[in-house]
Amino acid sequence: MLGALAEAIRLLFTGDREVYFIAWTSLHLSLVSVAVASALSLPLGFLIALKSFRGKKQLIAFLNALMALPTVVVGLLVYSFISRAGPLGFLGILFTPSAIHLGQVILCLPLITSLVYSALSRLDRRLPETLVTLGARRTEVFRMTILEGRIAILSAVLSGFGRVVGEVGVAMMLGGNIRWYTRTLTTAIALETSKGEFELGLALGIILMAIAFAVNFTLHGVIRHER
Amino acid sequence: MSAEVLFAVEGVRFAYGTRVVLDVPRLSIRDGGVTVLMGPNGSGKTTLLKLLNGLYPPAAGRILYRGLPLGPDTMPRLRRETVLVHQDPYLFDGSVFGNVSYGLRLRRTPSSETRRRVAEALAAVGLQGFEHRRARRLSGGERQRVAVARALVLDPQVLFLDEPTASVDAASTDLIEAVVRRAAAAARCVILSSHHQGFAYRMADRLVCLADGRVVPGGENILKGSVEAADGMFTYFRTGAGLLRCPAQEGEFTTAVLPLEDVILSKGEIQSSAQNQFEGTVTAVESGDHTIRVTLDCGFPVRALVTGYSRATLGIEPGARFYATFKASAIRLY
Amino acid sequence: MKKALLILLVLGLAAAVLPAQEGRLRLSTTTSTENSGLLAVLLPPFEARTGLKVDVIAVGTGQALKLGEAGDVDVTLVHARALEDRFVAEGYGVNRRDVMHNDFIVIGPASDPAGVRGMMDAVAALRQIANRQAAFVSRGDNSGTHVMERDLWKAAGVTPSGRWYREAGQGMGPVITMANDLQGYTLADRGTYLAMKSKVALPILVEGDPRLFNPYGVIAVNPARFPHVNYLGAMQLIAWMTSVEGQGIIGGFKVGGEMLFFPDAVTD
Repeated sequence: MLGALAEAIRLLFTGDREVYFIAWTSLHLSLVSVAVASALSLPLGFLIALKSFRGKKQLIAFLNALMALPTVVVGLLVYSFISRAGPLGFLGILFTPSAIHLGQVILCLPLITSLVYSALSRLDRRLPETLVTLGARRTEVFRMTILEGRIAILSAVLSGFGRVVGEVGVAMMLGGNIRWYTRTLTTAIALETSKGEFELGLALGIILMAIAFAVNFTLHGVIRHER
Repeated sequence: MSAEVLFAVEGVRFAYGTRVVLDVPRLSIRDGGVTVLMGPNGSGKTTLLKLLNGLYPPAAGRILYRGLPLGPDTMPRLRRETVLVHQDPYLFDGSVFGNVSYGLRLRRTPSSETRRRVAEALAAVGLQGFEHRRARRLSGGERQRVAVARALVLDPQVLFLDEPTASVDAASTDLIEAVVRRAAAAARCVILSSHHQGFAYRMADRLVCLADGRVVPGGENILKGSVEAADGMFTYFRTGAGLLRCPAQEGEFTTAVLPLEDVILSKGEIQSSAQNQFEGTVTAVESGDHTIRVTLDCGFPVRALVTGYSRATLGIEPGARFYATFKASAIRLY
Repeated sequence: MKKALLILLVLGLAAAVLPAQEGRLRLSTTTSTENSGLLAVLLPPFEARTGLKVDVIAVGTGQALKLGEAGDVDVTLVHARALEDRFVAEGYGVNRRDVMHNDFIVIGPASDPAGVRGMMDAVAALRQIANRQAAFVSRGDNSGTHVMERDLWKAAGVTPSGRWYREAGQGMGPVITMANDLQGYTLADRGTYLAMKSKVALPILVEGDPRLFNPYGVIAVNPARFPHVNYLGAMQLIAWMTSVEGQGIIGGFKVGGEMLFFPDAVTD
């Protein structure tokens, strides 16, 4: 284990170009995926929390079921759509970062929606009433609700980030682990491990954890400053 | 009173799930002064307030504001002209200024005007200089007043207050009372709910009694006035043209409450142990479920309950002259 | 601040969603080929000369050909002749060329409980391992290696089963690791073995039998069937791999001082 830690530090500080590239790929792929998923999840979670409609219970159950899907299954399902043999093959996004984005958005959207929904439904009923009586329209109620519930919502977004930055099923199936293109930390770890390079695999894992920690730390700091 | 009918409730029902919490076939609330919805907890007061403020649509029936039913066309006007303050209100995370100025910022009020109006609103609730305090760290009474300031700063025509004294200390109660009076005096209409009888009587120009989600006819005369004199035996309460003899007691009273059923009508003067007897003209006769409510003008309005039999036998009709008699002990002073 | 973030987000999304397809060539191959490190040496000169970027997707043989059958790649490099021939016969691929061969070896514990060291007949060696019920790890994943192994068992007249025969269902690396942990036998490609040699205690016991030769073929995906494939790029790559220069690089590629692949395309 210590050997792996030493290897991780060595890789980072000797500026191994490929490792930096792989780490950067992991980071920007996950961040964009989470950003897109959050942009969809926040309004969706908001609607589910604050409005009652027919089929609400079924929708929530469906979201919970989606969250239990293993990443490989999600990868397989998306692959069958975007392969040239599939209905969306004409888009030509298989084995490009876009395919990974698609798969990862599908992975974290139900998770973030579900967490946002439960955070918002625990929010005081008086908040939307207060906002409405003071003259707020629907988008303003949405904005203020997100603002007042931002800690819990940040938690939800970070959970989504955690799910995608550490997953390998989708990245591998849809990205193809192509060197200098779609190779992420997770697919690289899988590759090195399959070659028996356990120490290198662990070292990459430590780098992955460091990135996840850094993102968490930064976002928490930003939110606290906004007060 | 010939004030405009501000709100009209028609056939309104509201339920939480299967539990019906409000069932009001007909109710009018007039403009001006303070209207109090009084009743025990769970009687539907809060629900009615929220429906009047258009926060939720009724399950059945409709509500009219200034003669027009509440709907997408009329809602903007309602929002501009009315604000509701919750019992134990929700304050936004941040400063008092941030809270009180919120509505103004929504309306894109220029910041200099916002600052001025916020300062005025805070002064009106006795919180001058509180702009930079963190709203959520204030005491219960102070938080209530911040919420009232947050509403007042918008200059609403109608101010809804849900149980304004429920979560405040005694000192703040007096302040709230003063604020409410000031708001009502500024030609605004205040509609508040309370389960606290004394507060309700003192504040109310008009009283609506609720029980179990239904409006029950008020069983009391509420007379506004002041104490004119007192001797060892009686306190003399002036209301309109009448001077009421009430049991001797100390205090600055503004309201005398006299149950309808304690008022006896007679064609002529009667000699009795009752200390109060006034002559007046019948101005209104309303048939109720089992009794008839008669309103008399004795220089002040007094209402009594009689049976149909009495009405017929005595000929109680508008314009007729009768005497109203009641005991001093029947009067409660607030 | 918020507006800037929003614009950044939209730009980032646009950049992410619109992949640049021009100048990319998709090659599917097997994990053992990729792991050998040959492509890291063979492809860069080609990329420099043509300006194409080669996306190498390394999966099992079956999946590599399936990618070709779906039209998800432009060219494929695998080592399973029977499957390759069917791929071409069924119209998925065109212009198949021999590129190189490496070979398979039987590795096992130094103690060699089945006594196969030095045998020149791989079929007989496997028969002996089966008879002695010595621990043997199989790829079990329909890879080229697995197909070779199955053919050998068939020639030996043995249907391997029982506790001594473990079907791993994994790639060559993990299978070698597993054989090392169990100190059992396995059939491996020389390339992966050489790359892992320092980490395992499994000497080569059987090698050199021509039946163990593992020829590689490169095939372009049929453009008549899949109009979108980069056919010209695929043909350029095939030309490169079978050129004197390319074949020279293949022959010159050494792992641990040993030659791994034997060029087959050009002879003088």
